[in-house]
Amino acid sequence: MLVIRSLGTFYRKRRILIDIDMDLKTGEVLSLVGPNGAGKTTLLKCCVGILTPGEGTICIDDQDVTCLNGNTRARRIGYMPQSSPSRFPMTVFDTVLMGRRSHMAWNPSRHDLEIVETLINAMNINHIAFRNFDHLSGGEQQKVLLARAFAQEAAYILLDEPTSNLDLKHQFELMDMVARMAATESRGVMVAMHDLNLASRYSHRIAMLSGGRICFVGTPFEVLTPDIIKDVYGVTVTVTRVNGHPYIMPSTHIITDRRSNT
Amino acid sequence: MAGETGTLIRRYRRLNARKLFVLVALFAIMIGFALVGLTQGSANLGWKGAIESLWRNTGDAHAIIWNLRLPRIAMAVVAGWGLALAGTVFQAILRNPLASPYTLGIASSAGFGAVAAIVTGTGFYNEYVIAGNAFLCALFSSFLILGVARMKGSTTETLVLAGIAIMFLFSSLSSLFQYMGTKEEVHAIVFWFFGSLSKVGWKEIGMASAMVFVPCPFIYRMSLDFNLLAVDDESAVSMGVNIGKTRIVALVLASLITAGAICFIGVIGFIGLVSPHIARMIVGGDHRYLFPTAALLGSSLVLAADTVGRTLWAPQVIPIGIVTSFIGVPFLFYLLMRRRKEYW
Repeated sequence: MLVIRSLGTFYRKRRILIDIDMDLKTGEVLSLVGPNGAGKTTLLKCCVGILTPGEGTICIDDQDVTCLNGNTRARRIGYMPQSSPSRFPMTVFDTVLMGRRSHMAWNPSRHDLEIVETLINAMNINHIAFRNFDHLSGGEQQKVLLARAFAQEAAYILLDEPTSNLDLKHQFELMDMVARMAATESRGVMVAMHDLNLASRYSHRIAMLSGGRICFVGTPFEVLTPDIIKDVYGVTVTVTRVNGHPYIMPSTHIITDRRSNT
Repeated sequence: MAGETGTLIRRYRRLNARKLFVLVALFAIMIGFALVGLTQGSANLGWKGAIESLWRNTGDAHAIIWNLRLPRIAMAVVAGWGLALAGTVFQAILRNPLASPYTLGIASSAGFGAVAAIVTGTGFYNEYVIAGNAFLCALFSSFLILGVARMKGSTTETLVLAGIAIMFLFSSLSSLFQYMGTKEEVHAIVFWFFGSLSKVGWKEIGMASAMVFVPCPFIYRMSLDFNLLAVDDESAVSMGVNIGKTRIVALVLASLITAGAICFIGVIGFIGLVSPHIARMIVGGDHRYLFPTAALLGSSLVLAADTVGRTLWAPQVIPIGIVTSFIGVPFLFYLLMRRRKEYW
């Protein structure tokens, strides 16, 4: 279990995360939602070691993550960044293979290559496997980065807005894949995302962040209520039930609000 | 539609085999250029005579080959190798396609270090002092550049402008020494401003090769880390790379290589910028292949430039740095104009 206890971070003396307590179990998909600047990305970056937490602990099976060396951590926690601006050419295959870095010495083994191939096939990107990463569309790039995160074969995987550049079909394709991996390989997945309906459709639990604090954690039905959403986003919504998931629809007068802002 | 198992792996292996073939071919090209360089010169030894003199003592020809031409060729190989390798390292860790020992001013500062050692230490010409001083100055500029790169809001252009500033600073410091120096000192350092392979002996070559080749295995071992560093810091950290340590080790090694490549021959521009780009076009961005490809290209380019410089207006020898500028400046323009969209 990935356990986060009283985590806090600062950026230039400003508090970004305040007193975060959270657990991520294996086999679970947990969504981090909340307004822009709520601290979703910061929380993920703390867990991966990109940022150093100012206070509190992040533990995997009672082992402090911040004390692990880079390779060990990379084998425990996989990470998919929001985007990866690339300056130099690198093929899709090589990019996914980078996910194996913490497992391989210098030369990829047959096993490493098989994992990469399986993931590329599973993501449906085998037709572009030897194209340059930076020549791909934003959606294709996100699939490649997801494959790279899975290639780490970590028990916990953190995804930072994995669907932000994807169209409807690819959003569902990618999230189906994530859900399947979480269930069949019992991995714990934490996903930061903006789309509340997508979060509702795929998450076991949702954590709502606002102003650097976790204000609500629970099942989609517990968290995605009109009151909480009004409270956090300042938007009036109607929540209905569609196919067993809560479905969020903003009420009409939000449009007048927006007009008065511009 | 899922592909057949093994097809991607087979294709990956085939691509790598092709890259390996490129390496072998480039090595052959380099040897070829070296042999051509061996036969060209003011003394007309002919193909057969020149090659024969390598192992048979043929009197004057043997002396010309072993004391004049072979040192030149060996130094060209070492310098080209080092500059190209250092350029590849700088481009990856600074994530900057315009980075190279020359454009970042690191070559100029190493040059200044050597010039300072030559001028202040006249009377006792000591290659250890020259090389060591060149290394220290290169190191200083490398960390200055790294500091600029890590400043908030620093862009590709900021870094290159900082490099130009450093280049100016150290070039004028070198000029100052030239201005203040005696006639003999000026004569000893003037070749610095163009780069010259004419003055090296086997002792210097031994020193320079040690500085260039000893760091190679250490850099090569970090190839995978370079692959990730060239993408972005977040990816590198999340895949387990200790980016702070890797950057510093890489900078120290690249400074050592740069100093080794130029401390006895002066600043040769553009090889370190051009070679990694051409190498990337041929073998792609995987540093396991990129490093050796760039290095072999660098050596071949310096060998070719030197041969051209020696034969174009023979017996007049055009300094190597001038020849490489003729190749390099148009290439730099090309990078600035055409590749702009792709790179930044």
